[in-house]
Amino acid sequence: MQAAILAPGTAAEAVASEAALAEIAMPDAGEMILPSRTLEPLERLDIYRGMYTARLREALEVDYPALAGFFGEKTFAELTALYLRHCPSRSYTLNRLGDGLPEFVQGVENLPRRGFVCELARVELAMTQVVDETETPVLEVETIAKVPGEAWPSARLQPVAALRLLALRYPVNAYLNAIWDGGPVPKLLRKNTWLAISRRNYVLIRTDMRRPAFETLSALAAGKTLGEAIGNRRISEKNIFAWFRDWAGAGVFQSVAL
Amino acid sequence: MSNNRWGYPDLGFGVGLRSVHFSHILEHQPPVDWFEILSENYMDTGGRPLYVLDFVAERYPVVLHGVSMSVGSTDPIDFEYLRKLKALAKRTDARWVSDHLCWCGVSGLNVHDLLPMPYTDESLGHTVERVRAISEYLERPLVLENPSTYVEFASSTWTEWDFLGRLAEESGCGILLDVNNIYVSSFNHGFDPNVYVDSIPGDRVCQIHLAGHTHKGTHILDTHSDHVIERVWDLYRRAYQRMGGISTLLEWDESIPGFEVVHAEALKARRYRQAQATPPGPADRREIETYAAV
Repeated sequence: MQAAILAPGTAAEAVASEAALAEIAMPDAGEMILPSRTLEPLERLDIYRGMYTARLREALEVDYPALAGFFGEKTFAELTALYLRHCPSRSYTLNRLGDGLPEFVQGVENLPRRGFVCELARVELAMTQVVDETETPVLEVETIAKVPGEAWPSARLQPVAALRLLALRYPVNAYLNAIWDGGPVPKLLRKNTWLAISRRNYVLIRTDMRRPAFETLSALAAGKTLGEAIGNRRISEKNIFAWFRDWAGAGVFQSVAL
Repeated sequence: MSNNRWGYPDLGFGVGLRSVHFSHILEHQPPVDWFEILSENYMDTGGRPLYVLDFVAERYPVVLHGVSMSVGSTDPIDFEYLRKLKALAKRTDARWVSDHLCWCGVSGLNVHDLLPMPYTDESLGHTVERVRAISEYLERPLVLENPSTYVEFASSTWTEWDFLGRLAEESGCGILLDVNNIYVSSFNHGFDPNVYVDSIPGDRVCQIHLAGHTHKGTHILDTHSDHVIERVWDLYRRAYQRMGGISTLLEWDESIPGFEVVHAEALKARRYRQAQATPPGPADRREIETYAAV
C-alpha cells in the first residue's frame, strides 16, 4: 500500500508499479481493498495518495514560502513531487522534510533562474534552522563593555546556536524584503551579498552585511580570536565598534572567553 | 470522577494547542481545563514552540498526542523517537501519552499519515507485542486512538471496535475514543457508529476526541476543519451516558478560527453531557440497516 501511495501516475498505474508489486503482488486492488457503496477500491486508495501529496507539499510550502511564491502553485507542486520521489521522508517529523531541497534544486533540469532559485532555497532553509535552534543565552552589551581593551585581540566570542551566515551570489534578502513588504522586486541580477540570520526573543532577524564584517563574523563563529578574525584587514576602530553594536543588538554572541 | 482502570482523572474540556493561538494564550491565559499537544511539533525544536509549551505546561494540565509512533508497522520500533517522547512527557508532566491505531510507513520511510491496518489475528498479535514494549519503555500505559479510515482490507477478520477492544485487553493500553473518527469511518465503510460506541470497553477509555470533518459526497475526510456536527454530538452523548465523565478534547487543525471560537466549541461538550436523553440500549437492527443504506 505504501508503494502505491508514493508512486507517481494514476492509482491504477501506481498499483501496477514495480515498487508496489515488489511490496505485495496486487495487480487487482480489489483483491486487497474492499469497495465501499460509493467508491471502487482504487478510488479509495486514491484518497490516501491525494492526502500524501497535499500534506507534504504543504509542509514544504511552509518552509519555503518565497520559493513557492516564485514558482507559482503548479510549478512548485511539480518540483515538490519530484523532490519527494528522490528524497521521501525517513523521519517521524515533517520539520526537516525540506532539508535536502536546496541541494536537490541544483540538479533539476530546465529550472528557470537556477542561480537565484538555489540561493533563495539556501536562505529559506537557513531560516527554518534558525527558527528551530536551541535557545542560548545572549551576551549583553554590559558584559562586552567590561572587557578590558587590551584583552580584545585574544578574545574568542562564541556565537549563539541560532545564527547562520551566508555568502550569496544574488540579492536574496532584498528580494525577500520586497515580496514581504510589498515593495518593488529588485532585478534578479547576479550580485554578491552577505547575510546573517539570527534570532532574538524568538524573533528572526535577517541582516545584510558588508563583506569585511561578514568575513570577520564568520571567522569569529569558526572559533578564531578577534585578532585572528580581523587579520590583516584594515578596519577602523569605529567600524569594529559599530559591528559589535549591531551584533550585540541582534543577539549574535552568547559568551566571550578571554 | 474517573471510570477508567488507571484512575486517570476527568480533566474536563480541553483544546489542542496550535501555533496560531500562541499569542492569545500567552497574553490572556484563557480558562481552559487542559491542553493536548501534538508531540512531534515539540520534539526537535528549541524555538518559540518550546517556550510556549513550557509556559502552558506550568499553568495547565497537558496530554501528549502523537501521530508518528506507527504501532502497526512491521519496521523496528523507533526507540530514538520514544526517547524524545519520554523526555517531552517528563518535561511537561504529561498526564498520559497517546497515539493512533495505525502504521505510518515501512522500510524506513514515513508517509506521514495514519494508515489503516488489516484487522486480523496476525496483526493483533503483532500490535499487542509492540504496544507492550512501547508502554514498558515509556513506563506508562500507552493510549491509542481509533483512526479515521478510507479503505477496508479484504483480509480483515475483525471489526475495528472488536480489534481495538481486544488489543486494549491484551496489551494493557488505554483507548482514546474519537467519536468524530467513528462517524467518519462509519460513513466511509457503512457500519452503525452506535455499535462501535457500545462495543468499546468503557473502563479502557481515558479520553474522547471531538472534531469537525469535510463531507465529499462519496466519502468523508477527517479534516478537523469545522464545527462538530450534530450526529457526532449524539455519539458523544451516547459515550458519556455509557462511560461517564471522560476528559474531552476538541481538535481544530484547518481553517482554524480564533481561540475563543475553538474553546466555545469544546465547552459545548458540557451541555451535551448535561442534556437529558434516553439511555442507549443495544444497537438496534434498524439503525444498522439505515446506515448500510446511506
